[in-house]
Amino acid sequence: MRWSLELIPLHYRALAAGICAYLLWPFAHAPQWQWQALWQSEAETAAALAPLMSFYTKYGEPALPALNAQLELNKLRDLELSLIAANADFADQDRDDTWAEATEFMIAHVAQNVGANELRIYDSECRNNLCRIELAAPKGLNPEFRALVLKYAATLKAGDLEFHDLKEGKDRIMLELKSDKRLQYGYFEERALKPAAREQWLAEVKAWLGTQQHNKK
Amino acid sequence: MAWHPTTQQKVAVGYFVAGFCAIALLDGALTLLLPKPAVLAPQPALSKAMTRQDVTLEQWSNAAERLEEKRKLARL
Repeated sequence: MRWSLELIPLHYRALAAGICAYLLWPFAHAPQWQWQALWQSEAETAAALAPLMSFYTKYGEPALPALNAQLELNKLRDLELSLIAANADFADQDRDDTWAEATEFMIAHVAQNVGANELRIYDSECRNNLCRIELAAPKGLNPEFRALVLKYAATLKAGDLEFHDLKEGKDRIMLELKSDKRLQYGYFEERALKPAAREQWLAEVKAWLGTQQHNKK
Repeated sequence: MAWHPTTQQKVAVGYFVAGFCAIALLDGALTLLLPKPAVLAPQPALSKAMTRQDVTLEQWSNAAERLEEKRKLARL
């Protein structure tokens, strides 16, 4: 007889579904640090907790809301760092249209004005904070052309585009430039990075710092 | 004609809720029974605040260090 899900009685299936629903509910499980206490030795947990314990013995319970808020802010920072790492390569980036269009315009404009129109751009593409420029180099990267490219890169640097990478092709070179602008993410990432409670966390930390200053006086 | 759940469907919903509650109770018991680092034992208020956050011990310490740095900066 072929096995099928219907062979399991309905109430068992419902029970299993209830259990799964609970387990998938993301906030319902014992905190990670408690599991850590299971697999780490007492000395290891004590070492990991040393800065926290010295902080707590120094400031006591009034610091707890600020500590909690700082932890949430740190989580947001970690999330942003992971997003930055995920956007490290040109191929991984989405296009930030406003910035990309303006920068591509600037790249073309600067190329015309540097070295009396000697630079020929085959293609230029900007994405989130990286730009790729393909420059025609029929004679390869000879000293004169190198000087010209360096001058071009220096001019672009004044427009907030730092040199990032250079690849040499047969009759062209590929110049990659990076801006230090903030990356633009998709709707859900932006929402995760700026939750409604963020302002409150910042205010809690600020309030605690304020009372600290007040106590000092 | 309006839809009405059959007895079998009502029973299934009952079992779904029962399964959910059973695991919720088990999870609550687990959180109570799991060990806490010995250094936290004399600090009930801190460990109680810590159970609300699902992060590692290192992340807790990082937050404390960051707050200490901010305090130093605020004092300047």
